Amino acid sequence: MVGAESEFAAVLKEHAAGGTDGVVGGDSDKARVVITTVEGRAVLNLRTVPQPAPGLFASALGFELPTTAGRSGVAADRPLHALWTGPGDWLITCADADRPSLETRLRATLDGMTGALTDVSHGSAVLNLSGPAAVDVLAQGCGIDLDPAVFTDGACAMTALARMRVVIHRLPSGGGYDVYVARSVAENLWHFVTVAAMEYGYRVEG
Amino acid sequence: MSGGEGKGKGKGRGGSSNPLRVADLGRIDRTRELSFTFNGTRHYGFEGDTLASALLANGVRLVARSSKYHRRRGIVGAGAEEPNALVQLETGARTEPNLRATQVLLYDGLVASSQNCWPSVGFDIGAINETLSRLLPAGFHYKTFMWPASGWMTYEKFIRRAAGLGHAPKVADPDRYAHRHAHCDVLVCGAGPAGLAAALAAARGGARVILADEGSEVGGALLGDRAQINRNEATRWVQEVAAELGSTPGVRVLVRSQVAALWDHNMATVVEQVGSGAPVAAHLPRQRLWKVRAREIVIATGAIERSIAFGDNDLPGVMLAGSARTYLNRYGVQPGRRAVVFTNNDSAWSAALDLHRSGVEVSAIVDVRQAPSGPLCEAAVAAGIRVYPGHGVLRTLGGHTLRAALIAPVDAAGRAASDARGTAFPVEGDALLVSGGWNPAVHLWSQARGRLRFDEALATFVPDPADRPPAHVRIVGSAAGAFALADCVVQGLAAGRAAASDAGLGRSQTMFPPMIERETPGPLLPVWQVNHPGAHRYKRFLDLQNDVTVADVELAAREGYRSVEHLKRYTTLGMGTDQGKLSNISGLAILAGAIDKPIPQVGTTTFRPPYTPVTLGAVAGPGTGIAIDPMRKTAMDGWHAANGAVFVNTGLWRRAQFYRQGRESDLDAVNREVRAARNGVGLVDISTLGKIDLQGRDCAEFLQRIYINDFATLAVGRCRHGVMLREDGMVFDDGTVTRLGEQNYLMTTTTAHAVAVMSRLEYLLQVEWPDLDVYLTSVTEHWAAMALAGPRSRAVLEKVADIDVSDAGLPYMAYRECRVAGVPARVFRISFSGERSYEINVPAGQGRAAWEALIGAGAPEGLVAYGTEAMGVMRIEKGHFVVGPEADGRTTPDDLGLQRMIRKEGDFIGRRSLSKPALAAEDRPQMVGLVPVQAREPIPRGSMLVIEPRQVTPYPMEGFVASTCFSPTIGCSIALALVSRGRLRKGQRLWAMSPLVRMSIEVEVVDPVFVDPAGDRLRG
Repeated sequence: MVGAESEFAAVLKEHAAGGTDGVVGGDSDKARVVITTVEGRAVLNLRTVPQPAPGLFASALGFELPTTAGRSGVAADRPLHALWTGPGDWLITCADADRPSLETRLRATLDGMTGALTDVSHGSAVLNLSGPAAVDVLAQGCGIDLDPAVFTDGACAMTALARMRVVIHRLPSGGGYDVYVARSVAENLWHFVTVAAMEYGYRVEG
Repeated sequence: MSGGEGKGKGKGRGGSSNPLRVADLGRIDRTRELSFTFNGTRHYGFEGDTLASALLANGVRLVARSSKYHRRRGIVGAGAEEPNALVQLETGARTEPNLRATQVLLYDGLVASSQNCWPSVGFDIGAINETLSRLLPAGFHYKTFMWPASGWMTYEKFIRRAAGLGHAPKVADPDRYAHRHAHCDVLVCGAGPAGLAAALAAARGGARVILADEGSEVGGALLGDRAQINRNEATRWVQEVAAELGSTPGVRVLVRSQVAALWDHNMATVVEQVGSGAPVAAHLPRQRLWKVRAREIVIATGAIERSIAFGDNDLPGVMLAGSARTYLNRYGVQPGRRAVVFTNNDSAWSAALDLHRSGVEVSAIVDVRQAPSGPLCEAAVAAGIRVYPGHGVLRTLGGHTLRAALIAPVDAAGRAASDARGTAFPVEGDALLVSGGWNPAVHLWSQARGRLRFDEALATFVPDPADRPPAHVRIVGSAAGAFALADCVVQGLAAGRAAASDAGLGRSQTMFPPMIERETPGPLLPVWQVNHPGAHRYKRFLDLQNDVTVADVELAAREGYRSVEHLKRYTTLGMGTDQGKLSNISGLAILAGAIDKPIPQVGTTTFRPPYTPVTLGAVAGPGTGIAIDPMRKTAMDGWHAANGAVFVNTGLWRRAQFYRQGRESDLDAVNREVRAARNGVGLVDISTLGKIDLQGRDCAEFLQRIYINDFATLAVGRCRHGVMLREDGMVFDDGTVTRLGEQNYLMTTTTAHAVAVMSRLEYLLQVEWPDLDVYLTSVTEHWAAMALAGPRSRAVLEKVADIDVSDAGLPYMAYRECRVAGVPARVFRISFSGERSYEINVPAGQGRAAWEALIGAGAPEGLVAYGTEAMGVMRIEKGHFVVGPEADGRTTPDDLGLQRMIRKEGDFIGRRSLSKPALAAEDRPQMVGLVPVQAREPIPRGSMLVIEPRQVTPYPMEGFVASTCFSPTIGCSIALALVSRGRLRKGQRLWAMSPLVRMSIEVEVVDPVFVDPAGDRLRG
């Protein structure tokens, strides 16, 4: 098996080679934005009726599939999320190692009902933004209301960020924001985020 | 007075160089001296100054030349309304033209210069225009269009050069510009007394508030007068409110931030000048464009003073009275040593008293009103100021700068009997401070489609909230025509509270207004110009920026201009950077007088955004350079870049066009790549093709409905080429469909139409056929795709694939899942090149690894990576149409030679249109091939095809060249063309004419398939 390479791997290498610690406008301890490249994230696109029967997917996921627009659900014990991205349309994200078993469970649930399950893991690049100014970075390119009082823990949105189609997911309990973008434009997302975060000072992790 | 600390400029320098600066007044920081350069001369000012206030403090009077006559001009206003003091700020890459000196915050090292003068503001050659002014009447530039016809071409250069604006930087802007989205419950535009009160009330109501003001600090007009609130200086109240707003969560106060525009649905654009004026630190943007979406908007933009027209009223030294008051109280700068005040209302009296108290000798107050009265008048008389009631200023006296004002008794219409000695007499002064009343700044209200009404008492247009008001927009304070401070605050509090409540916040509470003593100003006398029998001998300016005079407006009226909109375009009144902030109302009042109509019937011109000019940098924001649009790169892009790829943009994707080796030419590289794929093996990146995964019970039925050919018989593990039409029968897109499983298909689309096909299919499923059980998922980004093509392709694939790739194991148009170089892969035996070919899809994260494995495995076979250009050559050689050149939205399947593909039974989108007579006509264009009769001649791209090249235009056209290339396989230029009845004309000769490159080449019509018409090479 040949190892997969993230779209961010190249820019990260360049970044490190440049000798910068990724912080502009402050020292690294005071960086108000932390940018983390997320590796090994599996993404499945689940499609079925908009309001599946309560409990139907609970056994496959370990939690109820969210049916409220712009909300996500999360497993209690694992980084397994279900993001509502449209009526009858979800992104299920998990660690890559969990994907095969999850896929099997979800296919079993879908068996006999209308729906589709598609692995789109390699279609996205994922960045996590955290720190007190993370939302200020996103607000420079995204028109939706990201005020933490409005875009609360667990909120998600398929929207535009600096002319890119993205899914923004606010992780529960202070985990910052996961930003999913088409892998072909990953460099553009990197560019946008690092320019927008300059004035707050940022640190790169992952 | 202390000098600039630590700057080594010498103590007391600022004091001695600021002759008009008064001690103990103003909001400047006298401990922080700043040095700046204006027109090459170094001056000093203080932190808190604007460029205008610092220039005035230094006694710099002449700051600009006017646009048309190049007359000497000084500073007139103190804010956005300034028409004269336009400066070019800084030089080189950071230079910015047309900035109002009144809005430029002073910083150390600032460099600015006057515009519209050459060689210098003091000696300006353009001033000859003034001598010629009788030849330059209103609309003179339009008149140059008329006669002689060639005249405009000659005049244009001069007129453009003399137009009076600055110059744009010629090198790339080194600064960064940011955008910022924000949402709030209440946006308050303007932080004067009304705006502060509104923001405070809204904040206390629990609203998310954004308060934006163009000034460097909040307070607005309160910073420039001496009003009292709660028996204290009003600025103390300002500080208290600012402190409370600053400490309230959810409240954002933006200073140096101009609300430039209000758009539909309560969206506002706000331009923030980041930093304190000086060039910003590297990590900060120079400007930030806010896109604010507010539930409720409160407009509190104040009012702008207007002038009165009199002779030579543009001499440096003539200033608006309110502005003079602001310079004194906010910046500690006197407008001169001796001031003459000329007014038709009470407000200038306050200015006169402030000036008098600061030590300026007020030599006279000239008031057109016959009997001004009230406490202000009493105070002025008590102060010993000479008052001339019932008088007007006929004109200014003085050469380069003001020496005196010639005044005379006037009637209620501002008319004097004569300017002869005996009636008229001079009043000396080096500053003439004028007030013709105040115009509410209704710009944002009008942008929000709020309506106006004419207020007779104020003699101006004021907002009319009673007449179909815009939803969720309020206007308060002076902007609403309430000029008394007490009213401003009360209205602001009420509007802020109501806005918070309308935004759905329950916490709103009644707030008691602060204690403000109510002024009772006397009535204004609407006088727009001072007239007398000799008035026409002197220019009486209305629009200082565009040099439009009373006479120009009267001339336009005589020439038949009745509409203010026409008047504006004809005379240029109200154009330019200030958009007539000072002149509009006066101009239309003069027009109303000239055509003898009441002012309300004349109306106003349209207030369009932006309120003040917005830089292109702010508009572009971060969307420059590589961020101008996302660039899509395939998983193998890095390999292409490292291996000599010359890239081409196809939509947002960048693709390898060809790979240059050594010093070969472009054509040599493409020919080499084509020969390799035709004779050996080639590898091309086709990741950009659209890929749609279909799942569901009704996929086969869905495919039948969207494709012209049959998909019911497609077996699992097999691929088929499909063509889809639009409803009108024209070819929309083509691609392949592979049946991955019983209820699972994979569709490919063209790169160009990937998004269009997806959205169209989604539309069909959601709107037309919701009963079909089909789910579409775009997997374009998930899979990296490459085509291994050529006679030696199987030999390469054999080495890396873990399946039987023999013709029995993987026949033409078959599909298998396997591992390629250890990577899970989908292999499709599909060919676009006409050669034996395998399309290999792997998860994108492993795309580059798989690509490199194939490159390595192919090396012994002579594998060559090829780009889109070689791909294009091979498809032309094979006579494959593509979407765009041949399927250009005007061609049917039959036109493209696809008639046999159309299945006999069943309906599909576009089928019924194909039976229309016009689409079955015999003379329809048909796709054919072309070769040049003289084999060495190239067929020009885009040529029209004609029978006889020596005819006169317009030629009857037989068709056109859709695609052309040099074919290394055939050894000459070849083309695909759409030719009327083309298939019947094989063997005929036509001429390919290209007027663009002035070439006419004789060509022969041939079959469109140039290479391997039987398809033997595909199947091996």
